[in-house]
Amino acid sequence: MSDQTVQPGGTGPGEGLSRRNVLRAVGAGAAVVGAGGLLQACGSSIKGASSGSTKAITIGWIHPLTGDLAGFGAPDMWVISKIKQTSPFKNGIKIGGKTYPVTIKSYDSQSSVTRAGDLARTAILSDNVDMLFATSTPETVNAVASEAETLGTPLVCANCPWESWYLNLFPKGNPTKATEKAKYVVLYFLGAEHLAACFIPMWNRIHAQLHTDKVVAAAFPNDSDGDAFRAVFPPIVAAAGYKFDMSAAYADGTTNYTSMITQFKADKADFFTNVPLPPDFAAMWHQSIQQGFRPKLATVAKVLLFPSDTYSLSSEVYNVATDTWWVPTLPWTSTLSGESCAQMASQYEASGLGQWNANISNYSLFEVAYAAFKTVSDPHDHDEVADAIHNVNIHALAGPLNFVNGGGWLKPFGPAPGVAITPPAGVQWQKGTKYPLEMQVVDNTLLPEAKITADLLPTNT
Amino acid sequence: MAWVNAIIEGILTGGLYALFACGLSLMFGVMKVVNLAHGDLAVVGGYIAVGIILLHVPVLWSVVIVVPIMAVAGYVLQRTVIQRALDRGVLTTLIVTLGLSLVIENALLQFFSANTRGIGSGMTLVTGSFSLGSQIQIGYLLVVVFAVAVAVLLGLQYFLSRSTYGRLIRAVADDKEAAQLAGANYRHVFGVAAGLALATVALGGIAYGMYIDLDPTAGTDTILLFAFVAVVIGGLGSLWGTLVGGIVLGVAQQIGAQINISDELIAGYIVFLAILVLRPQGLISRRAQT
Repeated sequence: MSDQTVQPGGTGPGEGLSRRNVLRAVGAGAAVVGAGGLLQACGSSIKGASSGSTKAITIGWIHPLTGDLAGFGAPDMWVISKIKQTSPFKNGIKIGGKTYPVTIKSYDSQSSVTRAGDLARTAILSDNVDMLFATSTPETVNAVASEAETLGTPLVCANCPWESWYLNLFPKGNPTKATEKAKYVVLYFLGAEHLAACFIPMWNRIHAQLHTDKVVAAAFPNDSDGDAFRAVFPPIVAAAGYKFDMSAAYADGTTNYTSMITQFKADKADFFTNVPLPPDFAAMWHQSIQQGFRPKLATVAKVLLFPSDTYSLSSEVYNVATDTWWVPTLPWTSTLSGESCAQMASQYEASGLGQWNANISNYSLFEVAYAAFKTVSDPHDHDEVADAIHNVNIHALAGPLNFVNGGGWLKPFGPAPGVAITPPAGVQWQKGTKYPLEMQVVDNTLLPEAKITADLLPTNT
Repeated sequence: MAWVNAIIEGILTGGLYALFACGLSLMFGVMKVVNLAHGDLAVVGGYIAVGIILLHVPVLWSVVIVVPIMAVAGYVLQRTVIQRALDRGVLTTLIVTLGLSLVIENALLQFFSANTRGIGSGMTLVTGSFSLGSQIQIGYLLVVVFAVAVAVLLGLQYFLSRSTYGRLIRAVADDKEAAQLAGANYRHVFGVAAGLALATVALGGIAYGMYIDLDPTAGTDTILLFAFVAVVIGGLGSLWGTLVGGIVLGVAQQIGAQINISDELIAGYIVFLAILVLRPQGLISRRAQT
């Protein structure tokens, strides 16, 4: 359960087949790396290396490969197979004249909070990992972060708004005076304030075209993302001149959204924003269409980030806008292989996994790990590695990652120690030519490096 | 008007809950089996439909295929697993159906992963609606589901009260030894009743996949729970009671959601508790019906 092989995770027959093939390839790759490690060990013992053992570095990655959040984890196994082709992860990491082979273990959280926490304990206590990764929403990241900080294991997180992550580690913390520093945990991603700042220019443009009442409907759930968004959005939105019409905090898994939709209709909302679990969005959006709530622009967060989320809703989500933290036109390159974003995206599509998606940027977890490991004297010393990840400052595939004082902060928020900001671009799902729906960059206010690829269109007119 | 909209929505959701509940009620009424795997069997029906639709069968035709498959599965399940448990006593059936529920849930996880799947996204049936006045919007899907539920209950009632075979089922339900002395093979009759029950819940599973989304744990988390509540509110063993129970539950949930959307579920359970205290035999008790 906790080894390289992952739960059989095929989705549709066509897609499932290719995914399985990838899994198989990854499994084979892992075996090769393992064997390399053995040879390495033999080699050093034959030479009679007296300078101590080079026990393999074990990296564990806890991520949702199946379940509600499966779309977030879709590129992860491909990322691992890609990483295993790079020199440090194929031949081992050189530290102080010794070469340490690397074992990568993947743990599927099945999108369950409790399972994510259990897996973190298993990885730390039974599998003795030297470093953990946790990605994709607070539902995976927060439980792992708590365990890693308590049990003292270095952890790199991504794809989780930093406020949700910060408030989980420091429940009494204040994101506008974020001074608390986790000893073992770092994160690179964006924050709720970046999403607000990303959506507002898009609302402004639709308002200029269609002369709306400037009312924004917001459906924020009763979970850690919802709490963070309820705290962060209202002042920013009010400052931009919009009236913010928030629903009550609904429970994740609510099946009937009629009452909140009725409220939004009664308040004549022209814009719609939210931060739901993907399946809840499907129910919410079906029912909005049924109930005749047709906002002029929907800017959603946490859902429709990936192509797989959009296919099941098909034409229902034409011209719904969201954010993205990575697109193929970005000028960043891998610190491990020098490959560009465009190359990564085209290789991903060529491998038969479907459309490129923003979590190809999870590649940078390994770049951070490598940057940290190569500066330490003992990769198995958790305290030393933890200090090293806090000092990482690289230009990675995901963008400039500076954990010391990480770039792109919006006042009055941050900078929080150990958080590197990767700001988002505004994107929209438009009817595609190659694929049924394609993600087009329509606004690059916060991420000017992303090329605009299409005009912003109203969601419903 | 928002309240009227909520109440209409609640009544129509009651139809969906009745589809979940009537099979549960039927199996309890005929063979005194409390089938804890009922919700999971609904999800199985939904997943079979998902599989059939992937073979490019039109969504509505999948219903025509899934319902007979589940009916046969129900007969086989009853004759093999449940009947053997039943021969050993009521407690054994509870444990066996609980085990069945766990096996089904984990098998679904294994074969279909924990990913959610919808049925018929983008169809007019699923997303379309009509309006009454300016404030009230009613989705086609819930209206159709409600009509199907009423048709299923009418059909079951006609079958049980008018047809010869229905009379046999009732006779076996009343006293299976006496019916056997009169020449009836009660095991076969139980199998037929289980087949009917699974056919109805397969419809419920498909409707659920259209209305929300299917995932392997939806069976116990949602469907079984709502089915139980609807059965208890309506009255154990009463067919029309399941519709009444479903409507009461649906309306309570919608009124709760109208007060505050996070009160949706709790409002349903408060009504459920109130009925357990004030009228434990249910709104339409079996005795009152006969």
